[in-house]
Order: sequence, then structure tokens, then C-alpha cells
Amino acid sequence: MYYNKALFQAAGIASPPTTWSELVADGKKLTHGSQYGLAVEGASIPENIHNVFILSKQMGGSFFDSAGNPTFTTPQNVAAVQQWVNFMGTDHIVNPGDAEYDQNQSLSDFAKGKDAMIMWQAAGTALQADGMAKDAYGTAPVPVESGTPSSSNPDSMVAGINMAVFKDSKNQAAALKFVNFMTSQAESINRNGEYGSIPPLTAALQASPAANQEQTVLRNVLSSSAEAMPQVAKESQFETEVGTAVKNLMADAASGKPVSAATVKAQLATAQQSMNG
Amino acid sequence: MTVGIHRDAPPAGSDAGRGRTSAPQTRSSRFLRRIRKGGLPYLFLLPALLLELLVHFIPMAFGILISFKQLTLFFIRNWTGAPWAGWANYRVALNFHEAVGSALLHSFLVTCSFTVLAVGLSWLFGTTAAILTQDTFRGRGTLRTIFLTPFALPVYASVIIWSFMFQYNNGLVNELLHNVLGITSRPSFWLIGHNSFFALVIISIWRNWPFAFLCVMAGLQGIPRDLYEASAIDGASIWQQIRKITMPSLRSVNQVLILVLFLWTFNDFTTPFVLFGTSAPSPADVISIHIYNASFINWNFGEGSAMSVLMLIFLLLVTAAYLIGTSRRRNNA
Repeated sequence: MYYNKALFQAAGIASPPTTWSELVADGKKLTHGSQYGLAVEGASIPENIHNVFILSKQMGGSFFDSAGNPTFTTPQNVAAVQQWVNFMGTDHIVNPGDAEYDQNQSLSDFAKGKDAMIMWQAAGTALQADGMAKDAYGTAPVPVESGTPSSSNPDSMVAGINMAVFKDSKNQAAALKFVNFMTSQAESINRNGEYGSIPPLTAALQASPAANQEQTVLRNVLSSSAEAMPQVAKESQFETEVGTAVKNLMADAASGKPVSAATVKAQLATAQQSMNG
Repeated sequence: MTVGIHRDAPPAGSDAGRGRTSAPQTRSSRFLRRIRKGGLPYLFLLPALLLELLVHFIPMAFGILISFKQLTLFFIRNWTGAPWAGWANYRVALNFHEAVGSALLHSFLVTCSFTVLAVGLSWLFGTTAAILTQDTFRGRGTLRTIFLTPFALPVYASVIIWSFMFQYNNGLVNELLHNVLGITSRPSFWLIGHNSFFALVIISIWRNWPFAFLCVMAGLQGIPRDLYEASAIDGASIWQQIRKITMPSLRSVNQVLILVLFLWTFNDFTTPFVLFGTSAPSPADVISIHIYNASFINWNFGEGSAMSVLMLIFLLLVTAAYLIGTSRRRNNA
């Protein structure tokens, strides 16, 4: 999570929130006039799904059972989606306009000081590109329900993109060479230096020490309290279906419609049916 | 291709010439004689026909074939190895009690209302503008050119600009409606929620009415001025002139125009895709985006193809009914 130091200071908040109730309370203090406490990328499927996944994990929920079958409508998942959407709907700490963002507009709003907090991974370089000074923002772990973040009380998620070489690829040797290059230590350090993210290779991680406070926080979270996204074959479909459901609910919240547990459950049930269909 | 057949033709032709007097005509010689008698133009058309097959019918046949396969992400490497699904994809798509089917039905109804509104209003605006600019006046050429610009702009660029204008926080539309004119009590959402449907209709009309304008304008050139003059002498009002002279004379233009607009609008992919991205808000979930989602986001090409085939059948039926209906009326008239 990234927070705007000057806005926190102006609101008299000494340190970033560590629980969700603190986040909502701080968010309310930070919301006034055209300024809002929290920025979200409301129409973005990946951002919605990542946050809902973490919230559900913190409540002990899961979107798939051990056999890999979808369990979208469990009380924990419903509560997680409702909590996420209601930061805008009932807590009013998110600008309703965020509900239509899907091209990283929330990052640029945060960088411009329109919002005080944003939950994002490795946003530093993007924020600086949007003109925010390096020392204007602080980095903190994403809040949890209660207690401290740990592997059983995760506050972040790990996801990635697979690289695959087709069995009947014409240039298999070259393709494999490319995969080797992309996953090599040197390239890993190089690329992650460029984007400000964390090298996935342990050796690369050790070879390139954290460059700043942001990096230190991100590395700690990754090594101690991040949970992997569901490792099922239909993962991409899960992201699309549930992400779209959350996006629609976010649109409801933005236009002032109440988002009840029943509404959320109905949307998640439709998403689950589409997974099986 | 033509050359090869052409080279074969002359000797065969002389055979046929002989056949007239002596030998019994073989099937091939009769065929070749027919070509010689007047079929040559068809031979010249053959390459075009083959290309048409290649470009249009083979992909269509492929699509139909895939719709009977269970082609999911597990089989895209070697799609011929995908198991046959029989009618399963169609059953899923047409089972309106389940999520996929009911979503498809919803999307179909959205597309129908979107098409009717967008085509109707595009036609109305186009025709009105064409009739109003029928008489010469200063600046008519300039005005006509301005009218045609939306049609000349690249779709992507114009839709992106519209999407900026429809933004909630700092879009031009909300700025005008809410801040300047004060019509709405609070800013409205245009890209999500119910208004997204109207945003799509507005952009579609904006893009398509110049085409209607162009066609009707061309059609109006063919109506003799004497008709208007004669009717004016008989005391016909402008409204009567439009109803009794202009509209009947435009019938054949309108027949084609409305059909083309219908097919374009119903199938339009670029506008909703640029406006909403891969997941359109449910009130504006038009069928082209819906099928794209089934195919490329959920990686279920079988189901996506089955939906496409259903849409194709629907469009074929509507087009056939429309053409038969409109031609019969014209013959009776």
C-alpha cells in the first residue's frame, strides 16, 4: 500500500493503518472536498480480483476447494467482495468516479494528490513517472482484519504470467533459449531494476539488495505474508468472471445502489455457473 | 487459373464443332460448347469466385465446424485433436435457465434494442439532413462536408475521444450537463451502469448517420424537380411532398440503406470494444463483445463459435425476411 505523507500529516495521522477498521477511519479523515481517502481501479479486472482474493484469504475463505472446484459463493467470499465494494458504497472513502477506471487512472490520481492511499504492487516507478516526488509517498503493508500479517493472515498475493513453448514450435531451441534468457539472473535483476519490482529468483534477490524503503516493505511482504493466487487450470477464467462481477457491483455502488450480501451472492453465483458452463 | 482453362478451350471447341455434324456429343464437349457459346464471362469470374470461397466461405465453414468441437484452452495447440462436442455447445448457449444461456439471451436483447434505436435514429437524422440540404444555398457544400466528417474519421480515434467525453470525473458531457447547464443534479456515469447503453447508442448514431445522409442525398438527385414543381402548383405542402414524392422515390435506396445499417450496427465490434474494453457493463453487453469474451477471454472457442453461428442464422433469417418483405411490397405497389 502507498500513502501520501503530506495528506496524512495534514489529517493528523501519524502512521499508516494496519487494520481495515483503521483504514476506514483514516480514510474518512482523509476524505473531504474533492479529496478521497482511498483510490481504487474499479473497472479493472486484475486489480479487483487481487484485492478481493486477499480480503477473502484474511477471512479464511477460498475461491476453490481442494479438488479445484469453484466455491465462489461461500460467506467469506461474499463478505470479501462486499467489503471491497463498500469502501466506496457505504464507507464513502473512495471517489465514485473510480468505478470506471481501468487504465491506471487511480495511480495518476494518487500521484497528483487527489487520493491519500492506494493498494498496488510496485507502483513506485509509475508514481514517479506521473510526477510524484520520491519522498512524497510512503509504503506500508496492506492492512489485515486484526493481528499482524503472516502466512496464515496474508496481506498480499503472488501471481505471474506463464511462459510456455509449444511442443510443435518450429524454433523450439530458440524459444527455449529465450525462456532461459527471460528467467536468467542477470535479466531478472535488470528487468526488476527497471520496473521497481522484486526479482523472483532467490539468487537474484540476494544479489540485488533493496534500493529504498518501498523495496524493503515489498520484499518483507513477499517473503512473510503473501499468498499465491489459486493454482487451477481455469485461473484466467476465474479472474474474468469474478472480476467482472466485482466491476458490476462497483458500478452499482458508484451510482448509489446498495450492495447487499444477497446481491453479491447472486453475482458470484452467476460467475460460478459460467465457470462450469 | 483462367489462362490454364483458356488454353484448353480451343481444341475442345473444334471438337464440339465437329460433333455437330458427326460424332455423338460427349458430356464434356457439350459443356465446352456451352462455354464457347456464352460462358466465357463465367470463366473470367471463376478466380473471383474461388477467392470469395477462400475468403468468406471457408472461414465460415471452419467456424461452423469449431462450433461442434469442445475447443477450450486445453486444445488450442492442436485444435483438430479437440473432442467432438455434438450439440453440447448449442445446448449450453440456448439453455436460458443457466448462466451462459441467460447471459446470451440478455446480450441478444440488448443488441436488438441497440440496433433498432441506432439504425432508426441514424436513418432519421441522415434523411432529414439530406432533405434539408436538397435545395442550393450558400455554404451547402461546406455543410455537407462537415456532416460527412464522422464517417471519414478512424473509428478508434473517434471512439476514444467519445470515451474521454463520457468520463465521470472530468468528461465534457458531465461538465456540460451538470456544471454548465445544471440539467442533472449530480454528475452521471456514462461508461458504467444504465447510461452506458445510451452512450453506445449515441456514438453509433454519430458514426453512422453520415452514411445514411450520403445515400439519401445520392437518391434525392434522381428525383426529377418537375414532380415537386407540379405538386406545388397543385397546392401540396412540403410535408405532403416529402410523403408522396420523396419517400416513394427513395424506396429502393432506403431498402438497401436500412439493411446495411442494420448489419453494421448489429455486428459492430470496434465501438463497444474501444469504449468498454473486454468486459462491457451488462446494460450495454452487445453480442459481438459477448462472443469475443466467450472465445478469447474464457478460451472456449467452441462455445463462442456456436454463439456466432446462432447469430449468423438470425441475421440470415432477418435479412431474407426483410428482402422478401420489401420486394413484395414494391412489386405490389
